[in-house]
Amino acid sequence: MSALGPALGQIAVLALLLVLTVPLLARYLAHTYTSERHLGVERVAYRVLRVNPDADQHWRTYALSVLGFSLVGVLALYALGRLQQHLPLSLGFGALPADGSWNTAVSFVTNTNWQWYSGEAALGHLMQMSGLTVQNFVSAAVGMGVAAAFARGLARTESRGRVGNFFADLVRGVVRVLLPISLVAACVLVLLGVVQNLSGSHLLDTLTGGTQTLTGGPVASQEAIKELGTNGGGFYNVNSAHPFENPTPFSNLLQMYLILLVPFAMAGAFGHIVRDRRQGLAVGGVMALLLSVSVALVTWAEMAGPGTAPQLAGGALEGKEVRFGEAASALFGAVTTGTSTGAVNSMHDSFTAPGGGVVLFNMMLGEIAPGGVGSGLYGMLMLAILTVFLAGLMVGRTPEYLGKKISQREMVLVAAYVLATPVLLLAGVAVAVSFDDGPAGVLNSGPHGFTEMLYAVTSAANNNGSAFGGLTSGTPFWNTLLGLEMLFGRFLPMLFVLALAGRFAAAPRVPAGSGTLPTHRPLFVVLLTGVALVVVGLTYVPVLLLGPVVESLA
Amino acid sequence: MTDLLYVVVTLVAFAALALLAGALDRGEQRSTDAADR
Repeated sequence: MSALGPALGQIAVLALLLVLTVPLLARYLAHTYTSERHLGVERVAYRVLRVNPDADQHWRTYALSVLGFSLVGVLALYALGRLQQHLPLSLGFGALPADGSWNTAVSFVTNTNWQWYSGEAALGHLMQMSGLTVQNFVSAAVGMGVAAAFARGLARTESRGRVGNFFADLVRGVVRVLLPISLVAACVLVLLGVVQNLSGSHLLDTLTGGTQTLTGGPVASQEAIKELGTNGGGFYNVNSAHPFENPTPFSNLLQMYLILLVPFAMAGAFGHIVRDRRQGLAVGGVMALLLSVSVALVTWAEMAGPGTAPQLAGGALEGKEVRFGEAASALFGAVTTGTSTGAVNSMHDSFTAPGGGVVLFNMMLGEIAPGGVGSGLYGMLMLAILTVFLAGLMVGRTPEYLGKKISQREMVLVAAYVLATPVLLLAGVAVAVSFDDGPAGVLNSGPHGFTEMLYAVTSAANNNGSAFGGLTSGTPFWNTLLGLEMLFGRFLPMLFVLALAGRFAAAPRVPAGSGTLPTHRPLFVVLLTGVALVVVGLTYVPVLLLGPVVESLA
Repeated sequence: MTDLLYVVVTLVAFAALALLAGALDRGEQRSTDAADR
């Protein structure tokens, strides 16, 4: 049972670490995505890729570059999974089934990292390192690049829809940001006891006369980017609940810090890129506010929430590691679903009904608190534009955001963005419950069983990747459905974001007038928070009623 | 055969997204042309 003091203490330490380091990384990120100089190692990468990093791409070319690069990633990873038995370091594992290999390929290319398999029982080291970990780096860099392109689009004036170079953003994100931080983080994780070797499985005799299999592998190197890139795919089946992957409360704290670092820093970088740091502070403030509410609710639910067993035990202990306790599990749950990470250090299926409902709602909110690396920022900016428009309707203000007029065409793109994920999600749930293959994989009956399906589709459509548990998803039906959710849930919103970036980049800047709504003041922070909760959140109320709400009232 | 199916599904999905990008761009062009007139 966790005490309240240490629970608040770890939140305070986490917040302090972020406050101290996020501004520094924000400035560095802004420089990374606006600098005209290329490093030597980057020039080598451009020569290998045969691209000109100085070519300022039109938004459509940028988008097609994203799609082309990701298509190659899916096909290559699919081939790796299907040919695993012929590859070195396969540890004797066979090929993944076609549906499973495709699901895994889409999952890691879309930064989702949904895992239908047990990593230690299905994948060799080459697949883990050359397939999954590489995608952890590049899929995160793709998201960061798109967010940077959007920020540059807002900062530019009459540039005929040109938003920067995708390949320069991709290479810089990996070389200058993700690789160096991951290297340091992996070394620290090794010092803290996370496994890092090329060993396979070892069968050991236990003191009680039984046997136990201990699996080693390149865990720390995958763990660092798994958290830093808000990827979430664990080396082991139980992810960060495994003692080889997350051995101590300190490694747990470090992992949460890594998850939150880049998403918050991207908000700060946005302020630098548009040359108004207050804008970045406002966006980051909304992210922090939403995350704080979420952390408070999940912590309350798991430490003092409803339910006979939790009340008698003094906390919801089921499905949680005793070395972390309810507080650190609740905090991790809020952090991993507020971002698009999907790593877990406890089983969300065992959370109390309101606790499970909040982590589910976090994902439905579009993961903007603070969201995935890059995707959190552009998701929040789309809502900021919607807020400006709604405020304009309510009080007759001129709808402008950072000097860019918000007209009918911009609102069509914002509306398409806001609607894309809910349509995918709700249609996916409808398909899942309409076919026998959907409920066939569910462990529980009633509203909890429905929540297991709802959580899986929500996690896939929002590119989170965390699993609720209780759902056997390694079937052709679920692998295909969730694969499609992940693919369109990632790239469809991205297209609307890039189209809007191009439109802003082409537009002239309108000077702020007396009718312009200031977007850096506390009033706007409150408005934006309200819009995020009401417009996006209310979309899902009916479906939440069928699952966690009914279960809470039962 | 199943491999071919998933490869085709992937290609069709990405082609659909690329076509959408093109359609959005054409919409932008028309919108800009209308504004210029």
